[in-house]
Amino acid sequence: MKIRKVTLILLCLFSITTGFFLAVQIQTPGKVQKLYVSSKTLSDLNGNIQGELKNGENLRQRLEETQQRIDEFQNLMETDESEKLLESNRQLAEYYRQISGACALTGPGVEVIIDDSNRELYLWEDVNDLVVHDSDILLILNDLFAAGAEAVSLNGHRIVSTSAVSCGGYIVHVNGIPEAKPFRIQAIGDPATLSAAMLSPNSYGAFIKDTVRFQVTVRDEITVPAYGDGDLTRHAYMTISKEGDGKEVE
Amino acid sequence: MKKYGGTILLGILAIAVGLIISVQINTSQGMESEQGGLVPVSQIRAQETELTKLRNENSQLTQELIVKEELLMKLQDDKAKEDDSLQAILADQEKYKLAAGVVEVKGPGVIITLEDPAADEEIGGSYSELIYRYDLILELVNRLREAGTEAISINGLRVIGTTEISLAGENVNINGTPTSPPYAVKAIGNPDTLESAITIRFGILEQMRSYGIRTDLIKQDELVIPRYSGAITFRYAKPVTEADDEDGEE
Repeated sequence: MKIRKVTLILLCLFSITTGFFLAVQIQTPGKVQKLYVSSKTLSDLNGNIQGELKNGENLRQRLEETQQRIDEFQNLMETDESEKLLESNRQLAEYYRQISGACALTGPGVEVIIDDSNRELYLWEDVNDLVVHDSDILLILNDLFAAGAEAVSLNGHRIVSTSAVSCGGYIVHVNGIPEAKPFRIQAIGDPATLSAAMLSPNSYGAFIKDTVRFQVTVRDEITVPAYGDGDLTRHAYMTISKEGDGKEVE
Repeated sequence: MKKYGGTILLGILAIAVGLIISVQINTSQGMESEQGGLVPVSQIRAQETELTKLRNENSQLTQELIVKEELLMKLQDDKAKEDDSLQAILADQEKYKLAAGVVEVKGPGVIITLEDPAADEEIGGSYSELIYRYDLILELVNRLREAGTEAISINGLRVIGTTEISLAGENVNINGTPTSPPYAVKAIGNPDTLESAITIRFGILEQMRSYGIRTDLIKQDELVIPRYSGAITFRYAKPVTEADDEDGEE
């Protein structure tokens, strides 16, 4: 009997302690409703918040910029300095022309040449692995832009907001113009950053280097043509001209 | 006494285990914001409200910006009525602004929504198909451009010539701004052509669906695509002027 009493008391004490712990445990978060959320949802939410913050910052800058332009315009109108007004608007038009891709640009940068591989196929290897695809070019261009390229051309065609690089079988259409290998990409920007983006171990450039020929050259001066330069006819010219007398061509 | 030694020890052990468990639970609750799992509803709601607040704030900023831009345009137009050379300059400005993507545009087109596959508890983590296969989004943009799109935005960010779509941690950076799924891609162009070009069998949308990405496409008679909100400045590129061609100097 004695033994049982002690055991009972101990059990009692133990139960009370457990009960106490349980109560504390349940009570603390008890006031807070909980929801099962995957960490993906949380990181997506967080990413979107960061993005909106950045976008807001940009919009505030643009607001300030536009206000400045309004103030400047009004000032120049009030003081009736039409020459200055014209000049400031001419400068603005020139700025828009430069950022629109309608203007040839020059500066330091890199030249990337991508060509089909000339090695033999390994056993079971697919021919498609050794040729350049539109998606390869697309990813390389994307990497260049991510590294801060300011102006890029592909085989002499300026890449602008409507530029597509599309597969057309044996050729690739750039801005709607057929181009074949080798593909020469010229990009203006910080040469060190651009070449690092092309060659660093995790880059797409390092990945395709195994299967296709991929060459990066840093250049002090690269000239990227304006959009539309020579995009219509580059090889064919009219045989008749205003200057010509039409006698030589029969 | 010796008889109860074991029981007492067991009691002490039980208390210790209880303490450890409670400490453990409390600790893991502290990390909830990063890792997902059972998260207080209030925390999720707070983040959701913050996102909504930021989005509202940004759309208000966008509205303010449009009002300011309209004011500037009106000022310019009034002045241009009495000044022909200003009128020509302003026409230039408009043309290049449109091409550069620094002005809001509207027109017919399609809206494509992309959502990650339904969360898989087995894989868990913050893995996002859309983010790790960002090249699919890049491909989609390229296909849309091929089909004649004149303006594209992704989650409200205007895609211009130098826009990058690059993986950055758990987000995809577009125009240097972090973005997360779900994605809304808006494209202005011929809605029928755009729809056909991307919903073609074995095309880009079908390819996306094969990865479990949920896609949706609606055609619209009129949709609005915001302006590029970042600052475009050239640090390396300089315009090629005619003087450059002659003596190599500005």
